[in-house]
Amino acid sequence: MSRYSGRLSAVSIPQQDLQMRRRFPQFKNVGSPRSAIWIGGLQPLEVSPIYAVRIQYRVGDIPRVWVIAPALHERAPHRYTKEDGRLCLYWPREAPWRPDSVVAETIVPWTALWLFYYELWLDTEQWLGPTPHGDPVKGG
Amino acid sequence: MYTLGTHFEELLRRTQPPQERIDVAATVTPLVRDYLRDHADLATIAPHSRLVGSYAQKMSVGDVKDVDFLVFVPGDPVNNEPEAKSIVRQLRAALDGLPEHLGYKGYAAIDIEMARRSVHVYFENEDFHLDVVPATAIDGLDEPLYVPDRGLNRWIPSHPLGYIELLNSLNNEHGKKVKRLGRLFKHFRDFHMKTRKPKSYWLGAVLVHHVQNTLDTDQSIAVLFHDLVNSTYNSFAPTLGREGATPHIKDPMLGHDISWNWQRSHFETFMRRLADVRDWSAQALEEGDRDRAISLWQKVFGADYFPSEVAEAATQRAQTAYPGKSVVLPSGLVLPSATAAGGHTPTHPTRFYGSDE
Repeated sequence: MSRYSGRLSAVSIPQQDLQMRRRFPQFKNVGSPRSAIWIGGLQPLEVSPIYAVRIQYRVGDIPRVWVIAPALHERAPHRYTKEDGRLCLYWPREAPWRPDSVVAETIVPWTALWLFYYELWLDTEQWLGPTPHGDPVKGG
Repeated sequence: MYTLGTHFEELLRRTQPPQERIDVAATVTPLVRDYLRDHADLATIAPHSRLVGSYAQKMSVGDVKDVDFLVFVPGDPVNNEPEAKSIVRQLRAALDGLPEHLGYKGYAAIDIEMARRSVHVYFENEDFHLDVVPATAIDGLDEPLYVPDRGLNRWIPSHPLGYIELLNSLNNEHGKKVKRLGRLFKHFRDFHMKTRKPKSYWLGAVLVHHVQNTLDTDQSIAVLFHDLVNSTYNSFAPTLGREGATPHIKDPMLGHDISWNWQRSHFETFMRRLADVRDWSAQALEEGDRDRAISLWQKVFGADYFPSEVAEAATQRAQTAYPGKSVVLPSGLVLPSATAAGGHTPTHPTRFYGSDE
């Protein structure tokens, strides 16, 4: 929260880009200074493939994340719609995404976690990460 | 496609040597170095000794009882000074006291029947032994060393430390998959071949060649294993088609032929096993039913090693990644906590929304 205005100051795309290069240098921004499209690979487990990921973000909007390859299982859970395939990384009612959030500090680690739990789902057919519907790890 | 990462992790865990053997290899290493450095009857030079072989490579599978060491001695290997034979004898005499020094009973012997260049150190009532090879490092540890040849008549170049470095760097470059792949390759051999086995160093050389040339290590370990088996079969197939021929596997460090003594019948057996495993692993990767895919992988690796059920292991893995506690490396690898090396990004708490089916 900005100290003077009482409003959250948004992180600009160049600032987001800087953080991305520092934390996840394999992600390249192929978008514009106003609307970023980062494409890069994430390997959540040592035995898993490297997933090619696309993150789209415009200041003032929410980041949107897709897995480009390898193709996700058609029944993969925690996506907004099967047609769109966008990953659900947080519960909007809890609003963990804020304009002053840094994509490289929030969205990318959550994407890695999503892929981690997706790999376990492939092996067990159970989503073992925390969800608003219940928390299998904590038993919620 | 089911790539069954948790199953493969469990397979790799089950094929590790017993933990007590890994502990022995780790704890005995500095003790052997100090013993040899301080020994009055054998001149050694820094670093005096080094752990080598599968324990140093971290590619051992099953119950490997040999713990391999190099011992560094001064000399001029080109002029056979000191004579390789005499150094091996001196080393045997010096190592005779090692078991007692380490608190065991035992003795050292030169392994002539096995036509090896090493001194074996046996420990009474223990199920491991040391396999010690003298070496001279006139050009430094980063360059090839010289070790006695099999007849102990002269010193010949060898680069075991460079090979360990090469494996380490390839493993780091390829998302830590190379050594896992090497262990799967060795386990496949051990599970399907009780005799006529190709040597571990040959398999390691084949692995290095394919990682450097053909394998796309962005793939899951399941796909990589199939691709390794498939590309190995394809590269050896022309040799199989020539009567009496065997492959010439090149030393990954020095380039000479290391499989010169591979017998044709043993090579043919290996190729039959390789063809079976190539076909089963291809079917497993194409299978749309997880249980049938698991059954096929069990034909490849054995049902005692490749588990049918991994719910418990997966739940334990899930706990290590809990959002808000875990960290993520730049590669995307999720770890339970911060690493000493740094460079990680902490995860913030979150709950995954959306369809929970």
